[in-house]
Amino acid sequence: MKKALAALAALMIVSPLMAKDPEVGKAAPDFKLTDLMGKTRNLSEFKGKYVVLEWVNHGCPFVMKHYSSGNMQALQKESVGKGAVWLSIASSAKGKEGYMDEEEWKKALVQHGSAPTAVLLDAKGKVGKLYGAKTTPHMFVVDPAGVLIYKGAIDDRPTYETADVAGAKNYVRQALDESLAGKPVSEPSTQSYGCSVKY
Amino acid sequence: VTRRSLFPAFLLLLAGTLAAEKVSERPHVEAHLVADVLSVAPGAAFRAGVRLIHEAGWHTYYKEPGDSGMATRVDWDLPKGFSAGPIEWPPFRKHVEPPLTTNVYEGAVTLASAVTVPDAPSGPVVLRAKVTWLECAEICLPGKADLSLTLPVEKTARPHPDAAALFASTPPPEGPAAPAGSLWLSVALAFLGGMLLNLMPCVLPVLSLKVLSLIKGAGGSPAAARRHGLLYSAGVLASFWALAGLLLALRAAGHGLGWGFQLQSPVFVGMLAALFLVLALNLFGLFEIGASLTRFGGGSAGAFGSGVLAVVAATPCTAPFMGAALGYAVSRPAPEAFAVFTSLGLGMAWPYAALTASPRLMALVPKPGPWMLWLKKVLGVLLLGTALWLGWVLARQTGLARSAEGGLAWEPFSEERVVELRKAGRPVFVDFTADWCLTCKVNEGTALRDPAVLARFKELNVAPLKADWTNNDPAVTRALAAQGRSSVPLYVFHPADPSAAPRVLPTLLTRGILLEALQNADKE
Repeated sequence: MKKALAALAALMIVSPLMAKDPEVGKAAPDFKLTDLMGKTRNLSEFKGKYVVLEWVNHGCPFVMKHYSSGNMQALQKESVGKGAVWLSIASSAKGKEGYMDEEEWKKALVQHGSAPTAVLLDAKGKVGKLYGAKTTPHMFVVDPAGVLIYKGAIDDRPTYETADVAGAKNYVRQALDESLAGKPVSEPSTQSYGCSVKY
Repeated sequence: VTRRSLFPAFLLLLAGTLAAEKVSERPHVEAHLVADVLSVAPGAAFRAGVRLIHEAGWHTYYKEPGDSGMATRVDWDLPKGFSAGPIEWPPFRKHVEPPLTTNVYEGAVTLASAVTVPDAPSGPVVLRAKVTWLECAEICLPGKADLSLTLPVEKTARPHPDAAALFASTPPPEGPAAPAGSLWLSVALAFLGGMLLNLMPCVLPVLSLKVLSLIKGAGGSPAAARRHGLLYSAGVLASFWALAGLLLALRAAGHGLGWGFQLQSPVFVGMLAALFLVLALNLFGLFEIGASLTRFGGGSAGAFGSGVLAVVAATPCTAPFMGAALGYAVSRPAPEAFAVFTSLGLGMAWPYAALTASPRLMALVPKPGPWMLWLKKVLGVLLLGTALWLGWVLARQTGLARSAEGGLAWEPFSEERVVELRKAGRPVFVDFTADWCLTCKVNEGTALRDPAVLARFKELNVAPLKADWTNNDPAVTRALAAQGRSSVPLYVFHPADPSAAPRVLPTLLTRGILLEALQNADKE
């Protein structure tokens, strides 16, 4: 009893610091956002498929690195080709860097040649905070059972240099490929890098 | 030497005088290459660095940027035979934009490295550095500069007259050392800490002596006892003020110091050991300095002096609550620092002052008797033990003795090592300690040697690092300041998860506290 109380007290002190970010190995929290067509999308509607979540802000040099090199678009096409769903989430608040309305987003998709399944608008930052998204890019991978299997950086080169794309180890690809092969994800949690999400 | 050959040399000199050669200008952050010398001499290492000057509201990042951002990167391109050491990262500031916290630089800051010079350098020496950084305000922009600095080769290196300013951070980073808490909280903690200081093994023998002398003089008038108590308190307070004054003066002179700093001097430790030895021998009755010790108990100067002695004896001990209060005090302006030190003194002095001021409390003190002889012997043993221990500290400080380590396989602390180990996914436990810190030694001898704790360390593959402050080590002082502290002991636990924040453990460690902290490490 005493031990349980002590543990509870410790948890009460520690848990606000942890801000209850979703944990790898547990169910990814469901959410509801509208896409560029004004259609409401849920995470749960994609159950049975892998889902990649990408936090994006086209004003951020780290995001530019992966789009100007074509790295992100290639990964989107590759992942969708493997049967995954790719959701790009924009959590920039209205008036802040990276915020775009539906029309601006449609132009940006054409301009960059992006190939996500959908772009979801999160100007209130609700889903970003729910997932503890800290940077752009910040990547999450959910498996067909709805379990979070990866969260963190896109790769192991925390720079904005386009030259660093070649030769980097892409954690998202690694997580998807390992999980598709029926293996546990070898690096399920890494420290994300990039600009801060402009909440 | 012809005039013609002198002219380029003159130009070089001029360039050297400017030393901070401006090469790149960015909209929000300027980068300059600086050196602490105007000329380079064969084999004489010097410091060079990239000085970043930030526009107001903009910042760049520390090597561990935190939740977002990117560490500034310096790639040196040096002439053959030259080499640059790792960047000596200056203290950073915590930038909080909920829910994100980052470690940043603002104002002007220099990312310096030691540069080694070969025995036969050919001049002039051209230092080049490619610098990449991320500059952020509300938004972030990439920054890049190719810098160079040319220095002539001379027989002896000429120091740069403004080197100190070129390598200083402006405004000085008030923290991560901006310690949590307010003045009032720190004053309250200091008072509590001062009170507890009386119970620490360093002060207890001295205080017991005081009480003994009080019993002896119990026949005296209450007024005399009260006067005695007040004089003792005055001695305690004056000593704390002297300490605070010294600390502030040394801080103004640019020294990073903290509680117990005087014990970093072997001379002081030697004197203290001798003092304790004399006191112990005196208690054993080996020799009577007769008048002098009795005077310690009796006269006005003696009462005041024993207050001073109590504070001097207290320095090897850190009581609970003191760490946070002192950390706050040394990072604040003088009036606030003095307030905290005063509170510490009042906290330490008041129990004795209250005892002497109240006849009713005095009546509770036992009557003199043969038991006093025994108590004197016990206290003598305690003081002798303290003297021996200080002798051992002295031997270690002067390199005559090495400590017999046991238990955990300690590694020496460095910021780089912490980063390396955490990158490798290992939790890290840092023990900030000093041989002269009795509280540290007690923790290390008990909780940190407990079999259950050792087993847990092993099970979780925790890397134990020891930050030794026995002698003044600026790197350790900086690391303490990063936690808002200026005293040892300090225990910091970094969980394995690289994104989790480090946790500071209490001053007095127990097995339970350690196991609890490690337990929580498991969760994330």
